[in-house]
Amino acid sequence: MSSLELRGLRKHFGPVEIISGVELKIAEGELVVFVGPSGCGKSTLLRLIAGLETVSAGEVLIGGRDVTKVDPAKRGVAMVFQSYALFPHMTVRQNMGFGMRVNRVPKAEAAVKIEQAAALLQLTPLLERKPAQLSGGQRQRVAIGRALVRQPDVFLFDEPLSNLDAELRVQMRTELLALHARLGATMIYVTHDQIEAMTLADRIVVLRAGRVEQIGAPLELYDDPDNLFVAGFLGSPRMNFLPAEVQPDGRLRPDGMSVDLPSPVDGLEPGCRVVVGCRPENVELTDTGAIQASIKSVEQLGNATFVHADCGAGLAVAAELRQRWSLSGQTTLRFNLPIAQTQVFDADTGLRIRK
Amino acid sequence: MPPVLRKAVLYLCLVAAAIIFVLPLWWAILSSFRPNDAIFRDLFPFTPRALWPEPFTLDAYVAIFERGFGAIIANTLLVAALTTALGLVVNALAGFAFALFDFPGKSTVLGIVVVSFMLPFEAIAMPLYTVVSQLGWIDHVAALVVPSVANGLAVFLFYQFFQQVPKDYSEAARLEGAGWLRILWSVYVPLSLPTCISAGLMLFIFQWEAFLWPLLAMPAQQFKVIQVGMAAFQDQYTTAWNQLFGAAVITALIPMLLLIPLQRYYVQGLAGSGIKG
Ligand SMILES: Nc1ncnc2c1ncn2[C@@H]1O[C@H](COP(=O)(O)OP(=O)(O)OP(=O)(O)O)[C@@H](O)[C@H]1O
Ligand SMILES: [Mg+2]
Repeated sequence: MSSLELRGLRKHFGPVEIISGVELKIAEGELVVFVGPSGCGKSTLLRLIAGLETVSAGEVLIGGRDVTKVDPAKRGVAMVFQSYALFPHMTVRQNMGFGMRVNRVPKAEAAVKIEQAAALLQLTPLLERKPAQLSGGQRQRVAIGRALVRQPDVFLFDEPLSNLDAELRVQMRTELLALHARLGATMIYVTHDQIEAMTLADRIVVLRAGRVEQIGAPLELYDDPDNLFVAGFLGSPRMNFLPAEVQPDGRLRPDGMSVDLPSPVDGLEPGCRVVVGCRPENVELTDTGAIQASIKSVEQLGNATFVHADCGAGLAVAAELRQRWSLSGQTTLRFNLPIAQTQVFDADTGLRIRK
Repeated sequence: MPPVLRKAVLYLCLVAAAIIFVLPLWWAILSSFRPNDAIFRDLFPFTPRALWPEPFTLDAYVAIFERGFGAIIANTLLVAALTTALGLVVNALAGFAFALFDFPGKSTVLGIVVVSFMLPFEAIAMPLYTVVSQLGWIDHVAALVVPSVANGLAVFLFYQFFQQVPKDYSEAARLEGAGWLRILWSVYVPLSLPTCISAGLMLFIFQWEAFLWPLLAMPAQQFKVIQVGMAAFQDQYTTAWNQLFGAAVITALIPMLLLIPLQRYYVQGLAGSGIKG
């Protein structure tokens, strides 16, 4: 168990910069999740921490020790690959014991560690099987087991659940959380699944194009995003965004509409371009609503209803309702955006306007 | 034509074709079991007795071994086994390096490796002879073994296979503290057994069939390998046909004995077998 720190970390492949100056501090025992769209550099960042890629600039510190130039095996990290990377010709026992065989750990000691890890992960009956004879979830557990026996300071997971079906994913998520609680180990977990990020993380790091967009506890990011990207990335359906212009009286006029919305922040420059954001569950449907939209589709999920509507000029709005709701011939929708739950972003920079 | 008849005609053609291909082989084998003066007896004019070893005798084989063919087989096995063992190590290491590392000039060197196995041996025989004689290896076993150890085709075979192995395996092993040699030995080699066997057989058969180079490199003829030894049966005395056929049968038999149990892997390896996850 160790803390981890990244200082000004950069990585380029040829002329292309993939990681552009990442600063991050992770406390001992924390479970941090990296999220971001595909290709944003999550795996690369993880591999830089593991030492599988060389750093172009910056430092990696594990437990206060600068490991930037240290061999991957000596960094005290264990990694669980998305592909599991279990050696196909070895049994589960041999797979889990590979590192200890390489490092000449006495056989008896290794056997005990394997048994312990296997018991913890419910792998004991499978120890003599080859990976090909295991289900996806079992392989996943073996991959975790192989990391576990090394008793690393930091666990790294690269989308470990993405090859599993939805049900197994939920189950493994719970098991991972239990494991984290039990070991108290520092863990970094990469995913592009925001549900996984929200449920697992102590803190989430949102990445985009090799930059950290925001770091914070899951609900902090959800409720209080720093910018349009984070606001749009977390939550499904995503936050509604209405481009608007600040009126002389400080109210906000969404494009293509003839109503003004009250602004949740004061002191906006009149004429300024902004984006008004409001999450679907905060959209308030009422017959006296100020904004009108034509209904495009209704999704009934049983516990919730999503209404997708068009405010004109191709501007889509989604609303989430907690009660059943049926169209009954209705084609238009009226709604309000409650001022306490709307957020305003600078249209040019995408940054949140607080105050 | 009714289907049964069509099948019958088809099979008849196949059998005829098979006979044409197998007959010479069969005739060679049974000729080795005849006395030398009886070999051509039933051929002109042809009688079916030509296809039966009669009179039957093992004289040819006895004579072959009396003339030292046993030592020649042992020599060839030694050369081929040494080449195979060393060659597997050297070529697997080279293929591994090409597959896993990036280094300046990699594609150029790889291109040279590919060209090296496209070149006919005759093209390099003279320069090679010069090198070997400068090293003072003429008439030494090293002259036969060392130049054949590095084999472009074997390197390429290993390179091709190792390249297909997912990088995750080597990275996982590296994180566990394994060095490159350990990764090659504990992960790549077990995954590429068919390739190893293919490459090994290739090196073996290459030596087994070598004729020109052993003739050049061992002018003293003290240490003879099988193809050279066999040629000697033709001109040393009046040609002893039955002995020549006997030597040919033995020469073919030994690699076959090796090939048959490994055939399954050999075919698989050349087909570039996938990796089970
Ligand atoms: N070895 C490499 N050489 C060149 N470019 C690379 C290399 N590895 C990754 N990249 C590039 O770096 C970028 C980030 O890749 P990375 O694998 O880190 O993305 P990711 O966030 O993990 O995406 P995903 O969610 O799809 O796994 C991609 O544009 C990729 O093409
Ligand atoms: Mg990735």
